[in-house]
Amino acid sequence: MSRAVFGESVKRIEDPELLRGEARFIDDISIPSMLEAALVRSPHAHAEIRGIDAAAALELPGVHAVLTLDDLRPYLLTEFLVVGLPSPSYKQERNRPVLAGDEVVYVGEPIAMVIAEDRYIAEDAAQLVEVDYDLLPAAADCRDALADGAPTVHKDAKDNLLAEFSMGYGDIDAAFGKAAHIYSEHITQHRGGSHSIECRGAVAVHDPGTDQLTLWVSSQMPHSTLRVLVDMLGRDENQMRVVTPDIGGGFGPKLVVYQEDVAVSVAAIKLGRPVKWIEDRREHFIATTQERDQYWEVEVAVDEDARILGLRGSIVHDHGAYTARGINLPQNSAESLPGPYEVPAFRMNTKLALTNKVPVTPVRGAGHPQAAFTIERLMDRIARELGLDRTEVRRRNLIQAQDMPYTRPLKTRGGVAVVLDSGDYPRSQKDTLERAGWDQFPARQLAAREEGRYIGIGLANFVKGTGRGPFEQVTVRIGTSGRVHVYTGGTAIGQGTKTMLAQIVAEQLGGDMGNVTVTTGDTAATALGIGTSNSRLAVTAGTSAHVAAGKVREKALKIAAHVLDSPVEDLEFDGAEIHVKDRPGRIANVGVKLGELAHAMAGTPGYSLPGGMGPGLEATEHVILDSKAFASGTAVAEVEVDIETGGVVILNYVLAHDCGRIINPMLVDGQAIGGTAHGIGNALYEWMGYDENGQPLTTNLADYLLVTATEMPRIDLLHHCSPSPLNPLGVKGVGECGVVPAPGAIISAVEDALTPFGVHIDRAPISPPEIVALIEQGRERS
Amino acid sequence: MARNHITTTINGDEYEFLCDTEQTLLDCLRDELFLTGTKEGCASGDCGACNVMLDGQLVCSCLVLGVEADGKSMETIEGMAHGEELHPLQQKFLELNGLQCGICTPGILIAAKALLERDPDPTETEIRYWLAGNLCRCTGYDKVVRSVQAAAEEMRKG
Amino acid sequence: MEFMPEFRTARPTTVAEAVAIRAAEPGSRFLAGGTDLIPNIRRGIVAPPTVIDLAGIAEMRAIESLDGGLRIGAAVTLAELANHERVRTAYVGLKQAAGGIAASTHRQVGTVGGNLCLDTRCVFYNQSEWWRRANDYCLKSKGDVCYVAPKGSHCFAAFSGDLAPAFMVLGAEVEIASKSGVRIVPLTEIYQDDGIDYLLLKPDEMIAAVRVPAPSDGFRTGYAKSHVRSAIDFPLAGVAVGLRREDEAITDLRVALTGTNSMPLAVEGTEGLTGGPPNEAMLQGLDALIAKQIQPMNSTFSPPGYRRRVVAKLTRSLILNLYRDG
Repeated sequence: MSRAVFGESVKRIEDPELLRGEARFIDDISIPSMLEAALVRSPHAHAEIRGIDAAAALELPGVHAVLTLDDLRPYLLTEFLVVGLPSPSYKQERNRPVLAGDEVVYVGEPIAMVIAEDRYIAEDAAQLVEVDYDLLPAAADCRDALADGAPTVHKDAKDNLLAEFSMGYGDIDAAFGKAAHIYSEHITQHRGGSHSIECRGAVAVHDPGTDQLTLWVSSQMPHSTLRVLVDMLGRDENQMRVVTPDIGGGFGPKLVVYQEDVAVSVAAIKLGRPVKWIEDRREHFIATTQERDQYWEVEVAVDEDARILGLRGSIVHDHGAYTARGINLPQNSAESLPGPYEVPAFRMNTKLALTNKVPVTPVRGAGHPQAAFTIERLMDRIARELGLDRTEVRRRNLIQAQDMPYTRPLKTRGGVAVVLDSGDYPRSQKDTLERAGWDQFPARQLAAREEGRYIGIGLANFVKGTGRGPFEQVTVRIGTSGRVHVYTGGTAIGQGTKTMLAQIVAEQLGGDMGNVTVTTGDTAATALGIGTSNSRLAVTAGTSAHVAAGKVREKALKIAAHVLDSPVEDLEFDGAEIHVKDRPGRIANVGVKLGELAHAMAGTPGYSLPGGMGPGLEATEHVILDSKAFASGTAVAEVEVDIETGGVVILNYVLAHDCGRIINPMLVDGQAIGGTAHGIGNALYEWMGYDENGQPLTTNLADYLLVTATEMPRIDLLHHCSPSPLNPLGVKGVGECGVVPAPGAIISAVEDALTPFGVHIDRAPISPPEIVALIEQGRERS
Repeated sequence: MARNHITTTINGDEYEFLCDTEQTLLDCLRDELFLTGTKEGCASGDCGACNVMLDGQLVCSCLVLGVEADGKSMETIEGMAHGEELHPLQQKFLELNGLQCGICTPGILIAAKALLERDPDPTETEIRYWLAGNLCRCTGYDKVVRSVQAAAEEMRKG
Repeated sequence: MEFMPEFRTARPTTVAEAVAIRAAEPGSRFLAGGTDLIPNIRRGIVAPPTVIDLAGIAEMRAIESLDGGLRIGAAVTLAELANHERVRTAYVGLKQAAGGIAASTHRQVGTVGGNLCLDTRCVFYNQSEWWRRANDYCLKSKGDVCYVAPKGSHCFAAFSGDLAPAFMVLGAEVEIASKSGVRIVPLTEIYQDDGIDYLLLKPDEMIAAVRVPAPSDGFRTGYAKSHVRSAIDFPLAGVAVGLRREDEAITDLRVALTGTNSMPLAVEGTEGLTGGPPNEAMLQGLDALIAKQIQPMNSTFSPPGYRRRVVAKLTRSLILNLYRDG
């Protein structure tokens, strides 16, 4: 009998090598004759480059080259990485040059690539490269950057407005006109980094004999990298291969194609030697994209019963110095502001401001956490003003289960309607409150106050569009060895993609996970691929894998029926075999191995294929899924605040989440809790400081605080399952979900704990000194 | 400058290698001995990805010079399993999914092993504080801690 | 991989040999656990031509009984100190300080001497060579300006070792070895409030051991610190308190601080607050003493006012706890 594996917490097929230290991450790749690269980067947020003197560096023994933009130009059709997602809202086109030309616009921008026998020499030489700068004023704060007369981020620009767009629906003026109450808030969420424990890196090998270029890169989107290389190097796809080794975490920024990826590729061609570049942590802080700086001004109109009539406002979004992805982040933010709530009228205006800081692109959550934080802050505000329980205000405004699918008159960046496909939001909130003991909390709070302790509780609901289309390619192939091979354009970055796909495929092809291998992130393995982002692979690649495996199954059964001379209905998969089911009148367990079937379908010269069927035992699918599957849920945090030190301890954290049908509960738990940890960081710890000149201040992991095991509470998870009607598996994504509600729930709880001081919090993260200052202000007011 | 000749025992095998004085033990393991299971996450002692055991002490190998390992014995992730047989910690990390991308895992396994060798029955809080020097961006530590607890129980049973 | 400059290493096997090398090689540095020195070398903050590895000096690694107290070798690790039976029972504040430094990994190799000599820290200083060069360096290293106090000519980098205050309230002395022998001085006398020259050790001197007097009857110690994360972070401020309670009165009170100045600070004048219970008047008196003597500056991402506040809060709660338990 075939074993059921879909929906089971099967062990991950990725793990044995990882646990033994045998996995191959980018820095573990070493190739004979390989050279190593180090970058000369801009120490200034904005400057003109008057000259680059590499003479001293080139004299250092072991240095092979110091490559500047001028050196790369002969190998390039264009010196720019043109990667911006299309949008009519751009006012300026700001593409990154592969290396800076006559201007640098952020600290960390690569200027020259030094290539030497080893990294030590390359680093030493990089220190010797003299760059002559003429300093220019910098725009560091995105609000200031949009002011009249602000220094421009690019010297040839007239201002710093990169793009502007509006979205909305309903009669917003009428909504506000008839409102019983209108409340406004200014909400800020500060930027942070992804900080995968593995930084970025790339190894390029060029074989002059075949003129083949292979680039190993720690990337979430190797196919994008290949397309950029095609555009820039003017080489054909079939002359290049981009491969991802094991990836030590992505969290968003590795979906970007970077200057270094291109420069390493050109260097390998130019020097005729393999070239490796590995980002160190210092560089990761300045050269890898970041996210979250947004300033919101929002107004909500409610009726006498606290029901939302309208929501309007504006966002200023810090875009960084270049377009390394597009308008997607503030688009996500604005589009997702209404969240799980009924909002009859809606209008948001969004401005993307260039700043002299590293480009901004998605970090886990991609614009959604800011929106969730904002709407949840507004919900708390309404509750406070109207003297209602915070849960009640939300309950009155949540979209009801019977209204699913719920169409929101908005369009995604690709023009697809926003349709909340399934979910039971009121139940999510209700169950979470019950599990968290919300109704009993006032008694706990009172008891704590009597002991002089300040505890608080907070909640946040969320929806998160997942599984962004249009597709992900998957090939399922049974080889003549009898093993099942799965190839996908998606990339495994630690989320268990290989296991997830193996489960989906094994479910239909014998149930033996050990008989399935999965290849991810290799442009030689799949012609098409989009890659890993936006919690998309379970939905997109999962669906393609499911359909492809179904086709292979059907064909294998047909061939087996032919070979065994038995009707298909009498056959079943069992591990790497198909055999006749045990039933009266049949000779049970007469079977044929999958490898034999694959052999038969591989063809023999001069002989017909069995059963008149087409060759091979494989199928390739790219199921088109344009609409997003909306995951949803609720978080409740209970915290204790030390009113003297401002320290916050999370006492309890309940997360209910609904990602449709669950393929592997163990993996889903890991994603939900890991995302929550990131969200806790965004609420309380992670602060990427810059000074007024755009100089980054927190450039190591002692100053930029990632959550450790001691800050993390045990997360109490509730799984709800509202299958998505959009895909045959009924699945939704989960990778980013945990992060989205965390700041809202935690800040709400902190504010609740500090009710006696009338503290109101309008930003995340919030630090102990800031909490102490707010308490002081509250004391002064009263 | 003449390179230093270092003799060490790693995972029970004797190794000799040459290194520059300023090379860290991490760089020596990875670049000179090609023992790449030990990872660099920060090179400043803040993340624990490079944890190894040096003469019975848990260290960040990025904070130790290669020359300091001369005459000493080391344990790295490569020596944790006995052939096909995984160490109970590895086994429990496998069963309970105590890892996701796996880049921090070698360091966490070595650190956890050091803990269980000192204290076979640590509390959850003790485990969390012991692992405070090991950053993981994927798991939120929950299954890491559970895996260590499960392995401790398994090892106590002998 | 960041820049790691070249240097030589020396591996003495005796204290005498170590200080002889130190005297002969200007600019050389002692290496024990490496948790402070190696990142600082990697960041180009210090560039010693010679690094003197103390690992081979057995005499520095022992904790011995001495006149009813302890003599703790400077190369004793923080973990060894925190786990030592006598320390755990008789010197609780010391145990708390040692056991809470950084993370387990660092405590395995970090040493008593290393923590006492821990380089002062500042957000403008503990940065990569590359960052500091981009920002024209700072007064403490290669530069002309202290960005914490740009108008002055003083460096305000903060001392943040945890052990020093815990030792200070015990009245610890240090054995300082040099070519000319060993001198023994109170721990309080080896520091000065200068972010650059915070240690009053001569170029060829080295802390060889710390001497802690015998615990006196009823004298209790404790250590507490403020940090953003629960472990691993350097303290924003740390407080050691030692007190003796007789009936309702505090008859001996000592307070020492870290993280507030460029040196660990033994608060002066606490003897004037003894003789009664820790009532509000006494605590306010102590607040005032501390407020006058500390000088936290913008050398961390937590503002000075905040660090003043938590010092006061930590001190009060430590005193009240020790008093209650005494």
